[in-house]
Amino acid sequence: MGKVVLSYILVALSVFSSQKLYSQVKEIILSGKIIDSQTGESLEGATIYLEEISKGTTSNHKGEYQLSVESGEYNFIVSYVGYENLKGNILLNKNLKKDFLLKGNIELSEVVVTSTASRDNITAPIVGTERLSSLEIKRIPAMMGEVDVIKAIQLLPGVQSTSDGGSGFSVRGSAPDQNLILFDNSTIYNASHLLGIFSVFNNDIINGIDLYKGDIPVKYGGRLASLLDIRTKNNMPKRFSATGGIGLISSRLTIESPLGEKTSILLGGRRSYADLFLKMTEDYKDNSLYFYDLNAKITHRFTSKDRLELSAYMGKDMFGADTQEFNYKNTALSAIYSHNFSADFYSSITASYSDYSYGIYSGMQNYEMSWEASISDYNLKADFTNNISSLWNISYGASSTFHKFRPGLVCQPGINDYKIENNLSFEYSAYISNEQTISDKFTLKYGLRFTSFSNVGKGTVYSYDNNYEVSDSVIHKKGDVYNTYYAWEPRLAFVWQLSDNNSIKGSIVHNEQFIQLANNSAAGSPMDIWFAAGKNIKPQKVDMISGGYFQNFNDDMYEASAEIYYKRMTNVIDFADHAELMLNKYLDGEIRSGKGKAYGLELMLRKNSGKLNGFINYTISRSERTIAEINNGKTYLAPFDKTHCFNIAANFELSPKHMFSATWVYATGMPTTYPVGRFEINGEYFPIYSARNEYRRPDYHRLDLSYTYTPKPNTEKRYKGEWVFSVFNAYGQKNPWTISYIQKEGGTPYAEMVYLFGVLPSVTYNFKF
Amino acid sequence: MNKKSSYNKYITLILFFIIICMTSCTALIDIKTDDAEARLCIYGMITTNNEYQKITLSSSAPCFDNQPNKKVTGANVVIRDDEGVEWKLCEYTEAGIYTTLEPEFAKANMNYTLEVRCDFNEDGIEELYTAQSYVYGEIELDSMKLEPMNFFNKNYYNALVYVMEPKGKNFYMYRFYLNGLMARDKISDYLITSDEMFDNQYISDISFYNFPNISDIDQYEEEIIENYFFLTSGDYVEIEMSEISNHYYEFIAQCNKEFEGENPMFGGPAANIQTNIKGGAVGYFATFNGSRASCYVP
Repeated sequence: MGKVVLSYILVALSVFSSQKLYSQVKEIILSGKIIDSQTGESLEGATIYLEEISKGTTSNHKGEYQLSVESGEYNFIVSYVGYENLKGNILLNKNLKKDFLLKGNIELSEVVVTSTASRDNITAPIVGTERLSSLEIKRIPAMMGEVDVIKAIQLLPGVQSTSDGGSGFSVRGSAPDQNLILFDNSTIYNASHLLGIFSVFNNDIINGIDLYKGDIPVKYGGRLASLLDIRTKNNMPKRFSATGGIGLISSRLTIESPLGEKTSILLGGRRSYADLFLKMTEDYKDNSLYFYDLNAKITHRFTSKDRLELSAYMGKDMFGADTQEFNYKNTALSAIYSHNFSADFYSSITASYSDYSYGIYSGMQNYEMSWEASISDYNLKADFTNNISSLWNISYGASSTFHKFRPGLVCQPGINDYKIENNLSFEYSAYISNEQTISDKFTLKYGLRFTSFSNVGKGTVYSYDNNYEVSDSVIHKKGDVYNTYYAWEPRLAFVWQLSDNNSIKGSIVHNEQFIQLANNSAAGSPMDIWFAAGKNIKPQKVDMISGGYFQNFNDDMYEASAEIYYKRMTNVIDFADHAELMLNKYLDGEIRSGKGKAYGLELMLRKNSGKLNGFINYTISRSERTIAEINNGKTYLAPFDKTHCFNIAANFELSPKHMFSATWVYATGMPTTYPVGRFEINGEYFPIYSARNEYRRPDYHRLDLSYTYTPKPNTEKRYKGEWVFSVFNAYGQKNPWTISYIQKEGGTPYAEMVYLFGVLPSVTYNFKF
Repeated sequence: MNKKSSYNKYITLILFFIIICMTSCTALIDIKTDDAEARLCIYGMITTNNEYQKITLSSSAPCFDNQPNKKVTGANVVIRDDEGVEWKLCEYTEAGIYTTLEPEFAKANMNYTLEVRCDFNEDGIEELYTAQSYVYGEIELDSMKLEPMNFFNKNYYNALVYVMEPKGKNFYMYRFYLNGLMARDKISDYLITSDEMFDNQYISDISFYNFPNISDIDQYEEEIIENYFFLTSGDYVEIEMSEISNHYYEFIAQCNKEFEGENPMFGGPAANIQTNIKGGAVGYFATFNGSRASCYVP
């Protein structure tokens, strides 16, 4: 690790020295922060707009904005969802740093709901990105009243759920493990609670999410399909406040408070209480069944230029019965130190740790055993952004990650422990990118990321023959770097603004992925393990070209977009028929790799404001794979290929007291392999299957509704409450979760489906003080 | 003891949690597919026990047909060992079930070849289907024991076996006899294990099967009762253990996995069950050399 630290120091030194080389700039730079006047909270996605030149920008996740303009006098409008617009006049004859304080009219039931800050969708050179605010996520009718980030993004164009009610998602036809999920800069390896029914993110502590569907910012890498960037509140509250809710499944409480003048704290917790009901039943009274999440974040500002954020997350699921226990947990810790050298030049250094582990324990007589597995990441990175002129807005940085995978250790009394060797690897990367405003109409963004991925001993590498049988093995000593892959990942994007209200964007990206999930089931399970590329497994690669047309109407009240993409994947992995993925020393021998292809069209229409707001989207897409040893080498549909997807999410505010929301989703049934025949042995029938994914399940559709009642929307009191009544699957559609073949003694088989959800009503009470 | 079956036990436990925490329900679903061309199914497991050795021939059928699969009659079935000893199997008692004329037994450490000739596709020309299987040497079961236990408020007898596991990659299969009669001879009842977790170790006190206690029989649903072996105090239980090939082990594992359709959390995509029969048939030709141990239910 010493080398890593040294390389950061070198990077940092070179940055400081090169800073002096920048020549004078002609443009005037207006920069600063947009903040909540009451709480001091930075407002992400707020807009500043200069009327005379029709130019604007949005604030980043720290509330910071920056505009390069020619000198002159301008009328400005600063706006943000749920806040009063701030208008005024400003004289710019030199670089100016100005913070804007917006007065919130936001309460639990404010009228306006928008997601993407106005105009960002037209002007930013980013293709295939989706943004949802915490508020927008909250509006979506929630299953069992549990507001859920992942369920919300599954409504976005190009994003599919991988199983009914599950928290896995597929972006543009890719596998769920091709999504990088970052929670305050820490990787989350399993974002599910209750075996996938809920996600681990407590919406109350979230500021907002960004989903990049392929054109991942060059700062990030390591996954083919997407980046889901979830950030907790970036709070600097003026006073103590609390937000919480009581629901049928869980209750939650989040508090924010200043600690002195420079420090603030955010604490959030959520716990389910199904086990409390279990205790009341005779049969299950000794069982435990719960999950919890704990979030803590401390922000300290040393000066106006230096800030330290410490963020921690812990979440656990626990299933216990009799002498048996199954649990799985996530831990994510991060420390971010940011320093602004100037308004144009800022940096951050992040250290993060992420761990996912599970354990199965049995104390039953003659069945005593423990089975544990985990994955840990230790990450250190430095990022710099330097906005020199409209032509040079440079970002660069470096990062290093140490992955430690412990795929499984089983201990049973009476026999020797059974251990799958740990798998260790280092991933180093460096990147540089520039955003260049070539003219008023044309902005270009380009960057390059370089990654080296090395497998490190101690480890045994098996060789496989043509039949994937082990033919040889080599043992590598502790610390030996026995295999390294290098990846160059270029990314290019442009925006061509046709007018104030419409633009064309395009991008070309190349992404590589070095670690993946050993899972070939539809929904996935908490016991799935991750494994790394190595001598037998090459890194997966994707080249994606995408583009879109973006149009705003009626003073940005409506946003419309049409995006297309085409992806070509190489070394994409699948698994041998009947693969054994758990506790398998010879996992590499179960992997088959080949090519993949995915393409699609995504249409989206949003209405950002008004009594009726929300979005409608439609996606037509295809995703397929061709792997020599699977399906006799013939191309087959990827498991998450859904030809048509249609989503509606709408909110209607009848009055400040009464708010209605609805979502309706429709998707073509998932590809599946059905039995086309059966053979019989000793009175039992066994299937003969069709080609891989030759058939499809029935189409999926579902309507969810919610009604929010705010008894006193205009109260002057600090305490505010609201009731949310929701119905999940309102018309009781039976969407198959699994299809089984049942045969009774002496009978012939018939097909039966298991569906998880009937009509599920729920009620939640939310409060804030 | 069994890697796959004992893990499956925990997986079953997890699925149990899913069921209690979700409002899941079942419904019939109509699956429409194009029917595949009919295929010959050949199955037989010859043993070292002196008994009528048996091979069954039948035709595949559309998966959800409500008629049983048809037996295939009139075939020439021959089993031959490497020393040239040949058994000719005929339909002496029942159509489609080919047996030896007299009780016969397979020899340990011997390779057996099955040959089936029949005109299954009715084109006027006989097709030849062949398969080979090796009879492993006997593994020495020392003894077995049944221990009462309680799990989720139900009483069971834990079956424990005592055996020295030899070095190398080995696979085993077990059959049960209750009071001298073989408990159902169905693939879904065969227990299989690999020695991956206890290679070259003396196996003791590790449970590999639970027999439910007859005292709880009214707590089980009717369908489950059909598939379980309930024990009463005083019953005589015998276990027969044989080494089998890796390929046959996989065949049984695949049959058990595909038997009930998909498992969205722990199963992979549906895939066809492998066979050792050459010539385009499905099914299996296997051999079994069992070592027995027995005890009375306490």
